[in-house]
Formats: sequence, structure tokens, C-alpha cells
Amino acid sequence: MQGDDKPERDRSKMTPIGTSSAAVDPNPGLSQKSTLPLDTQIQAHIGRRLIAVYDEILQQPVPDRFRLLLDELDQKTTTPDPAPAKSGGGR
Amino acid sequence: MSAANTSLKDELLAAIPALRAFAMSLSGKPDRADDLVQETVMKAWANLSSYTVGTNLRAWLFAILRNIFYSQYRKRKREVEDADGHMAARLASPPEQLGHMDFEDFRRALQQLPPDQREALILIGASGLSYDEAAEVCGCAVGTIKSRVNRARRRLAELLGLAAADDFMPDPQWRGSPGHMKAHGSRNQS
Repeated sequence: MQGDDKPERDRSKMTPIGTSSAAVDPNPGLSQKSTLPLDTQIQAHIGRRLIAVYDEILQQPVPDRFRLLLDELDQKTTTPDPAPAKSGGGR
Repeated sequence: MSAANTSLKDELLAAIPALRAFAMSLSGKPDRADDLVQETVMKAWANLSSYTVGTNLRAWLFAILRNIFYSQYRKRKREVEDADGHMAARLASPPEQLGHMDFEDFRRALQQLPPDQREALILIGASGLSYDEAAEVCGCAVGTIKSRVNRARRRLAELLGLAAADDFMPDPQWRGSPGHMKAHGSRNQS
């Protein structure tokens, strides 16, 4: 990935989705009504629900299986390879 | 080597909550979500040479996770289609009032979105990624992300009974007092 490693965005300062300017209709062939902006209140509510759904998991403690996995991966990488059985031979 | 490993290990550990949240949004099933994260961590570790230190680790991990999800999704597509029938029957009931909307209803509705719309919505609306970052994760143009988010928003509003397909002017009863809608409390920074 290109670009600097930014610190985690402060999501409390995010503009809730749905409160920006009118949605652009990517399919101009569809009914005229689909270009109307959605109700801001509803979309702000949806925006908060999205964050709530995501946060419910985000705030859970990390299950042991992942700590164990990372410990295991870390140990495998730092453990030296066993010496080859044949002396002087290629691998 | 071990010092560098410790740092990357710590960074991966710190990314687990976000990975779990993203995985849960994609798969909708806790066990499958954690399996996805497990595979993601293993694949990331095996492919650390393709990660550039100092760039956005979380976005790189998200991209790995979604690639694993989609390769599995194609095999499991039938399960998703079965879920559609169940949800369609449920929507025959009257729309819920804002503020009384069941959390589970919202999650179920989210799972009804096509995955490309759902992931765009979650990445932009919940995970804190910018449009540029989300576009990189999903391997598409920023405009594509924006149109997916817009479509996801419309579809979600329809599924939740907040807007009929033909009518984007909601019933006046839903313009209730703002107090109906619970403000979201403070969130921990992960």
C-alpha cells in the first residue's frame, strides 16, 4: 500500500454518512425518483447503527486463539532451522 | 530479527479487533468471521515481504481478509441465497419506528446487501478508512466505492422499512423527536 501510515481516524469527528450533499445517481437510466436525496435523519440513524454494529466487535477483548496463533508464528520464525542431515550438501 | 518480529506481532495483535469487526460485517457469522481473521493473520505473516513498513497496515490486512472472504463466498453463495427468502417474508410486517429498531434487524438487513455494497458501507461508515483507502482495499476506483455506498444506503433504508422502493419521502411519523434516536456513546480508539 502506498501512502503514509496515518494514525487511526477519530471516528467521533466523522461526518455521519448521509449528511453530505445529494447522492449521485450512477445509473441515469433509472427512475427519476432514485436521484432524490435520502432523508438525512434516517441516514444519520443508519450511520450510527453501522458504527454500533462495528464497535460491538471492536471493543471485545482479543480471543485467546489469536494471541496463541501470533505466539506460534513468532516462535516458528525465530527458531533456527534444524541442521541438515547431510554434511556439506545442498538443501 | 526478533525485535522486528515483536513489533510486527504487536501491530498485528492491535489490528485483530478491527479485523474481527470487518470480518463479521462481511460474513455475518461469528465463527466464520474468526476463522477468516485466523487465515488472514497466517497469510499476512507468510507474506510480510509484500508489506512496506510505515504504510497502512490495517488497509493491507483488510485487503487480504476480503480476498479470502470472496474466494470462499463464491463457494458458499447458496447459503446467502437461502437467507434471502427468510428475510423477504419478514419484511412483510409494518416498518419499525426509528429508535425502536432492533439491533438484530439492522444486522440482518446489512447481511442482505450484496457484499460489495456492504463492505463499502462498513469501510466508509464504520472502520474509519478514507475513500482513497477503501478504494485501495477493494481494488477499485473511488467513484465505484461512492456509488456502492450510495446504493447500500438506499437499499438498507428500504430493507429496514424506512423507505419504500418508489418513495423516498418517509412517513411523517418517522420525523419524530431526535430523542427517539439514541446518540451513540463514546467509542474507544483501537
